[in-house]
This record gives sequence, structure tokens and C-alpha cells, in this order.
Amino acid sequence: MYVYGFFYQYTALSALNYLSVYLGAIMYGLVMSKFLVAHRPVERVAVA
Amino acid sequence: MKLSIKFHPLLFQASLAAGGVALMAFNYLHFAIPHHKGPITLDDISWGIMSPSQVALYAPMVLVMLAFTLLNLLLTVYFLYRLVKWLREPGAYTAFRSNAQGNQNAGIFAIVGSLSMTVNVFWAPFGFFVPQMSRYMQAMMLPSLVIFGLLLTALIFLEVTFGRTWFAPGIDRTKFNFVWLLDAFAFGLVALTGSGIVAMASSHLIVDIAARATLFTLGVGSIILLYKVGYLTFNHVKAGQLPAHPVMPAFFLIVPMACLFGLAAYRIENYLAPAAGGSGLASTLITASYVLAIVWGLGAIYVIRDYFRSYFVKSPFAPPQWGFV
Repeated sequence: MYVYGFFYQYTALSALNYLSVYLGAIMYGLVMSKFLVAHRPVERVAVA
Repeated sequence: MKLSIKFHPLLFQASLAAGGVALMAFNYLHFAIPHHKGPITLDDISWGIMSPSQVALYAPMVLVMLAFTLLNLLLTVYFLYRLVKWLREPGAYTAFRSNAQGNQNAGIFAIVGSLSMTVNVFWAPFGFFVPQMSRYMQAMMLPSLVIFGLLLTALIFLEVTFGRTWFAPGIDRTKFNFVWLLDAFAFGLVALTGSGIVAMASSHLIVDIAARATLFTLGVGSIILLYKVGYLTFNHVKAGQLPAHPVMPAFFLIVPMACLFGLAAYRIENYLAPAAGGSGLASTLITASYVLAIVWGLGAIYVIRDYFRSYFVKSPFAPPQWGFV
């Protein structure tokens, strides 16, 4: 196995740690998309 | 299309969270791939001798780290620019500071927390992509110590200034929520920065100063954290109901905090270990903190399970949602 270290003696822990990075990235994308939607400029509708 | 972003200190949570993801990717690669002494760099990865599955495993991780490192640095620069403009607006800071109802002014600590995170991003993920940095790491320790000192000073100043507003007459502290923990979070991040210097510097003087200041940061941060978690938990149990949907994700703030305090204490205990006779306390501290993080995280998911099931996906943005990252 190409891994070593305190937390990497167990493949399951290593896999969980690996996946948690992507989970963090996905959550970031979700929250950032909500943030961008919330900060869209309000378009003014011209009143004739 | 230009976004209309009104400045608020909680904006810094976006750069803080980006730094967190970059650091997670860095930590994975640092521990998973054999490398020379010191933090792993891009030069340490021998792509040519890796199997296709290993390349498929590590290459996306490097790309994720690159994206979030850039995001952290760019957002930090942009938010600092906006912060300076905000501080120059007459009365803006004073009005924000005095708004202590529902701990609304606790967001100020996201600034210190985010800047501490950026220092760590600079040392680790940024250093990964600029391997020349590792050669000059020792030359950066003194400037790092100065930045650490400035962050700690700013944090103490803000804690005293804003702490007064939370305990002022007329403030209903029973309405406070877990966002109130942002100052303890900032203490954890500043302690991580200080302990990073302790772990990396070779100058005894720099290590000694950083270790003492980190111990102080950890001590004050732990007292604040324990008091606030106890108080908030008691109040939530007493009220017998969950807080409003927008602030629910703040429950998750405990998870990174447990890891930050545990890791900083682990590094400091390693520094003190010769004097303590190698008590094994370091391993106990870091294991206990990670167990607490996992237990609290799972508990929080259980407590707010309905939030995830029926609210989060379609919900509008709320700053505490950064707590998930």
C-alpha cells in the first residue's frame, strides 16, 4: 500500500479522509452558489 | 454581471472555508505520499513511476487544492480591500460593534480566523506549488512570528471590545446561538498558526516565543470555548427547541474547533514533551479531539436531520451555512 502515517494505517480511514476533501469541495460549491444567487444585482424594471 | 455584495465581516467565512478545503487536500497528500522531510511539495510526487490508479487518485486532489488555494488568496485580497473601505466609512464599525442582540456582532471574528487560515494556506498548499519556498522556510519564520503576534493582538483587542457588548445591560443572552462561538474558532485558528511556527522553526528563540504565545492562546480559547458551549447547550436544552433554520448549521462549528485545538495542543505537547518525560498526553489529546469532532458532527447531523431533508437544498443563503464546509 502506498500510504503511511498515523491515520493511514487503515485503508478505511484513508478512504474516508480522501472522500471528505471532495465532500468539503461539493459543500463549498453548494454554499457558494447560494451566496452568488443571494448577491445578484436587483434589476430595475423601467416604469413607463 | 457585477454582484452587489454589501460588506459584512462574515464575508470572510468564504475565504476561510476555501482555505480549509485546500488544507484538507494538502494534509491528505502530505500523509499519503512518501516525501522528504518537511511539508510535501509538488517536486516530491513522482508522477512517472505511479500506477494509473494512483495518478487518478492524486491528480484530482492536486487540482482541488490548487483551485481552493487560489480561491482563498483571491478572496482574502478582495475582502481585505472591502474591509479597508468599510473601516473608512464613518460610523460603520461602531454601529456593527454595538449590535450585540442575538450575538450579531460576533461575525467580526471571521476576519481574524480567515487571515490565520491564509497564513497556514501560504505555508502549506501554496508552498506545495512553489517548492522553492521550502528552501527559504526558516527565513519566513520571523515574519510569520510577527504576523502571528499581530493576529493574536487583534484577537485579544476584539475579544475585550466585543466581549463588553455581550455582557452589557439589556442584552438578552438567552437568544444567543452557536455563531457566538466564532471568537473561540478564531482562537483555535490563531493557535494553529502559532503551533505551526513551533513545529517548523529551528531558531530556539522563535520557537520559545511562539510556544508561550500559543499556550496562552490555547488557554484563553479553551476557557471561552468551554464556557460558551456549556452556556449555549444549557440554554438550548432549557428552551426545548432548536434555533431558527438559518442559524442551525452553526452547530457544526464545534467540529473544526475540536480539531484545531487538538492539533495545536498536540504540537505544543510535542514541544514540551522532553520536560514532561514523554507522557503520551500528545496522542491522547489529538485522539480525544478527533473523537469529539466525529461524535459532535454525527450528533449535529442527527439533531438537525429535518433541516437537511426538507430545507437545505432549496433554502436561501445564510452565512452559518459555511459551517458545513
